[in-house]
Amino acid sequence: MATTTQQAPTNVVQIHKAQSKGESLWYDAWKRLRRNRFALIGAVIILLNVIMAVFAPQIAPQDFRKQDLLLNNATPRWVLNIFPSMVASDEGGYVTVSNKFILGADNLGRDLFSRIVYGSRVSLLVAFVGATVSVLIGVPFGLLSGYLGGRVDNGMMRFVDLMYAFPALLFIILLMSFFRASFVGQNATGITKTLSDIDAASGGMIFIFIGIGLTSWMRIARLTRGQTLATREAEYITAARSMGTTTPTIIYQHILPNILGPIIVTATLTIPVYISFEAFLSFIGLGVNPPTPSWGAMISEGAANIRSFPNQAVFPALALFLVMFAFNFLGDGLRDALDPRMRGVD
Amino acid sequence: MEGVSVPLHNCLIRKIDQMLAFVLRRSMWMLVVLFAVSIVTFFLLRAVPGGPFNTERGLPPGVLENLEAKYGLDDPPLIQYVNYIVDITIPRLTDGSFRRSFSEDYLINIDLPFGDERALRWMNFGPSLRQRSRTVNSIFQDNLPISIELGFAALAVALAIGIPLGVIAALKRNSWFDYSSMGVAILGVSVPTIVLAPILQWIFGVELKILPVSGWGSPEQAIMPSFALGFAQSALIARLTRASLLQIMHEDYIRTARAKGLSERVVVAKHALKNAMIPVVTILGPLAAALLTGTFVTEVIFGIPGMGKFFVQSITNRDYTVVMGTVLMYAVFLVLANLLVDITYAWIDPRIRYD
Amino acid sequence: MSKFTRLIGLGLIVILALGFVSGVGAQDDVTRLVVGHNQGVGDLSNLDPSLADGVDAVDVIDEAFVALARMNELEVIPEPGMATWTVSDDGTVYTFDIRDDVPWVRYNADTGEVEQVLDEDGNVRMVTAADFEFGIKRSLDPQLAATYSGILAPWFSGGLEFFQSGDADEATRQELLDNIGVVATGEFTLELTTPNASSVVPSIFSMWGTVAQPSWVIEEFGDFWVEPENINTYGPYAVKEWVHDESITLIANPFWPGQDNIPQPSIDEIVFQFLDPTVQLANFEAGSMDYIDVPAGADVDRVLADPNLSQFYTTSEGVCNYYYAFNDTIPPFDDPRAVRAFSLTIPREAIVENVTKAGEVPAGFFTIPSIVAAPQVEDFPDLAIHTDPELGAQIWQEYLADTGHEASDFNGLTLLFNTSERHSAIAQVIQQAWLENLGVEVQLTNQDFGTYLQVRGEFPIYRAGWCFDYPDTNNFLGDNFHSVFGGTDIPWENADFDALIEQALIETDPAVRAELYAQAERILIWDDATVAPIYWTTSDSMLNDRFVRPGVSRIERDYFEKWTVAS
Repeated sequence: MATTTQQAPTNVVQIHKAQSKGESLWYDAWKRLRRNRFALIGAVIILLNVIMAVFAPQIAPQDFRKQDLLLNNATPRWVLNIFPSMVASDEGGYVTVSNKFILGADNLGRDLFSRIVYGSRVSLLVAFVGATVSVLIGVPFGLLSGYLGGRVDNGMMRFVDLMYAFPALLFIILLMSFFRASFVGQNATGITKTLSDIDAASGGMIFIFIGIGLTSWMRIARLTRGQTLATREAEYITAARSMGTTTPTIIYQHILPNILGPIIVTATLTIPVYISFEAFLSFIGLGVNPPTPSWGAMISEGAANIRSFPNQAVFPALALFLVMFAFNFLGDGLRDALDPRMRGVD
Repeated sequence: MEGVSVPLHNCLIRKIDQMLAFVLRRSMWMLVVLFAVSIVTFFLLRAVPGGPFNTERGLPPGVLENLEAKYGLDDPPLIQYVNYIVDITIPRLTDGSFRRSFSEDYLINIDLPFGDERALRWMNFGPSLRQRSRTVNSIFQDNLPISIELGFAALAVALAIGIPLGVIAALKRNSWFDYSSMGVAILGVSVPTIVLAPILQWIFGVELKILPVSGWGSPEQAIMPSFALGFAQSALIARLTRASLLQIMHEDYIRTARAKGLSERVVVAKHALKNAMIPVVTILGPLAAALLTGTFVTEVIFGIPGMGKFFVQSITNRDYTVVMGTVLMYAVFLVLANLLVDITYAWIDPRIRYD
Repeated sequence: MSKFTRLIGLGLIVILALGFVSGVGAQDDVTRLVVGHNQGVGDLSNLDPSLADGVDAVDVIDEAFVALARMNELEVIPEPGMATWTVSDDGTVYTFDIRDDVPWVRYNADTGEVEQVLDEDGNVRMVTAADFEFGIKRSLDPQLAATYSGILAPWFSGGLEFFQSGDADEATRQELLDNIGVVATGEFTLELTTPNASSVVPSIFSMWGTVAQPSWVIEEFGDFWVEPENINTYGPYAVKEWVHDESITLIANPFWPGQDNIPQPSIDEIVFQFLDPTVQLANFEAGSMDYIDVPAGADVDRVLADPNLSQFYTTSEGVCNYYYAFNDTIPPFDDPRAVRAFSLTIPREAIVENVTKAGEVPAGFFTIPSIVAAPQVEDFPDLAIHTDPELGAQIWQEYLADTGHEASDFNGLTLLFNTSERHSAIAQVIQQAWLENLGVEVQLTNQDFGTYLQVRGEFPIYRAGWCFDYPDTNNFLGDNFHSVFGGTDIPWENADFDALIEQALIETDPAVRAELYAQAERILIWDDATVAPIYWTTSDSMLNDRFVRPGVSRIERDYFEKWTVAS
């Protein structure tokens, strides 16, 4: 007993140290991140993308849904020069040349560039909603599981196993069939009606979100749990507990800040997965409702004609690549900056 | 010597014991998971609109009732479910007069040495409701091996691209090499198969005519699809290799090896790489599962008769039995992959106990 | 570079090298036609003549089995198939004289040869009248529950009664079975009795559900009888191999005796591959496919502009229509004026010229113009529908004024289509046209095919299409919209319409029939206005010039035994 009381004060000091060290840790991380050029480029690209999505109406030169059927698949001259396989109609080929469109027009004569600009809204929303949902569900789940330990932990982790094995794609397809079909005749009621309305208002994105939410949180939950388990036994936590600090406070004030780094890294690095999931859903016809543009939908439509009009798939794919590239490098940069195991490597 | 080896030996035995108990416990849990997945899938399928017998022409009166009666779909859902589970789980003894039929086609058939022409038959997943000359078992037998081949070929490609890129990136950290290797890896993960696959077909199939555009069976037919599928996963491997190798390169024993005057090449190849591969090995399980389940797009574009398309198309067709069979099979893969990871972790890292 | 890396690099090079080597070899002197046309992605839907309901399957079944009559693919009239026939004076009894020299065959995988099927006594099994009787009755059997039973049943005396007896006891069932007007009166003589003395009847006897079937195989193997190791056939080609979800291979049947319209085949093997049209085109350009579907939309432009590819391209009149159906229980479509306004403002010409691009024809009627007794737009220009946005807007304004609605009240009306790029593009064009001309912003939603079929009847607007089963206008107007035997999801009935359909069915003069059908069309597309025809399809394909066909088929399917290798 005597030893415990003796130890407590030193631990308090340690906590203070840990906290002040924590602040400098974030500062250090920021310094490290700033030195990483590629991570910064990533951050700038993401920022530009956000600006593009927010100010889409100002940036897009044309209305994204305005069709000019006579100029279907029209392509500007410079695009023909990069894709030698495309031959202009005045040279005996099949491509209508028109410089009215910066990157060309799609099969209904709509401006590709404007659609890419508007399409960034869907991709970014998917990215942020995916990351947010996975963190909001995964972190509390993992914290509780890891902190409480024992049977609760075991039970919660087995539930994660179950969710891993659960066929999420099946669930999404069935959800979409159910809600989109029961919109019918305006006679749906209650939650069905509400969800259908949200789906309609969001251009069909709500179920993509639900799908991503359902499948994405387990990884974060596992990670958080592992980190919590490791942190739980640390001396300063034991000390805080012995001083009568309540469980929520311990979790919130002492454990969470210490494990946030790896969580942020993982959340950032998983974002590209959500973006490509949207593209996959578009490929199987479960993406956003037309005419709302999304990069995934544009890519899968363009891919069908990729031989004839490569620009229609390549440009949105390029946009997708840039954003995924940005998130990847930002994530890697964050990892190098934040991950404690990587510290001291320089 | 004796005194040292005995406790070590005991320790190993205890560890193996623990592991066996762990595997047993988790296998029991796997059954629970499969059971839960089957219930949810079964009733979800029946809750949404659409049925297996919809056709564009619409069915004349009476036909639908006949079809549902033929497949037992006119029973209450609970009875249907119980029948389904019984057909799968309860083994049957049959005699010589047994004949494989549409409603009785077993995955596991074991001839028994006693009695006359007796056999133990187990796991009847039922007939396909859409393809009326195939059972779920025949789909497993014809299409699953192809998906597994494709999955492993893609895994090989992912490793072949990912590991070298990761090693180069780690060794030349923060150099031009690092960024371009990671750039290539990210290119892999961000160019959707939907775009990559037709471009490959165009270049190698149509323009250069050195690879067949589509199909499955010969080695050269496997090259493009396994690349299209594996390239995306190589990014994950590259990143993991890089991180893991970076960490290892700063461990004490590597410093020691360096201090001993070994060349950098030997240090990396002999000491660092081996240990750096451990985290990579642990993700092979889930990766293989992901490659196995993520083959839909590749299969459609390259015309490969694998399982991937059943997962999407059978849902679209409301082919209840095929959906159930596919979902259960994938669930087994996923659960096994996770179990494998947990075992590997615990085996490698003694601090983690099997509990 | 580590050793490991080098090893893998080396491995890849070896694999590539192997690819070159094996790609160069493998040439045999078998002539092989590789077909993607009509197949699409996914396995052949069925090979059982009684169960088949898709053109992919029928294309194969046509080669393996021959019906009593055979629809001429160029002139679209029924010709003698396995039999010639005489008709009784009242037109209800058909007596078929079946060829007596056609044996049942199977492919022997061990020898690689097609061989004749022997019975228990070692004699060659010939195709007999009893096999036809068995086949037809099997197709009508309610216990088999085939989707096409309903189309066949009304054309055989006692067929409907049997078909509707799904819950009858065994004795009743047997009695009904015996009462069907299908009787083998001799070994090679079959007598068919029909309740409808109509000119359509011979076309029915050319349908795939009426072919001879091997009762002994079906009894032995049950549902697996169509698998290549079990199946027995007798047509010009036999089934060699069926790699599920990839391809099915047919091999020339040397025992098919041949006749003028169904000669002995000259191409050795036909391989049907199940691929997406885009992939088919890539294969065609790579030289690994010979006869393909052309992907919709943009690729057509490239193919037509390419001096090399364009010479292989043909397009011809198709066998389907494409239309939108309106639900007359949901406002505003409970008022025909609203549907007329929506129908008049669909930009039909713009859609076929700029979106579908394969030479489709803007539809003036629901019925495609190429079949028997179809009303032609030039004969009845005032009865057909035409695109006229001004008139549409005017009618719409009248409707709004009368009912006191604002156009924006109808924003959010949902248009349903089954998932496909083509349907989506067309729907977006129409959505835009309605917004510009009527001020209504409909919402688009797509569903997978299964759900779409189940729920489409509840949606305010849905897209649909219809392809002929037999080339008569009754198959479009009667089989779809007659209040008793029609089968669409549109909850619409009209006694005048029914009367016109019934009258046209028994009328024999094609000109009079066309006129009756034109009046029925008017009720359907204008007076009551429940559907809006959009276009009539074309059938476009590309064929390698290594092969020669007698002409472009007008029934969507092909008879490959008539094709030859270019000399």
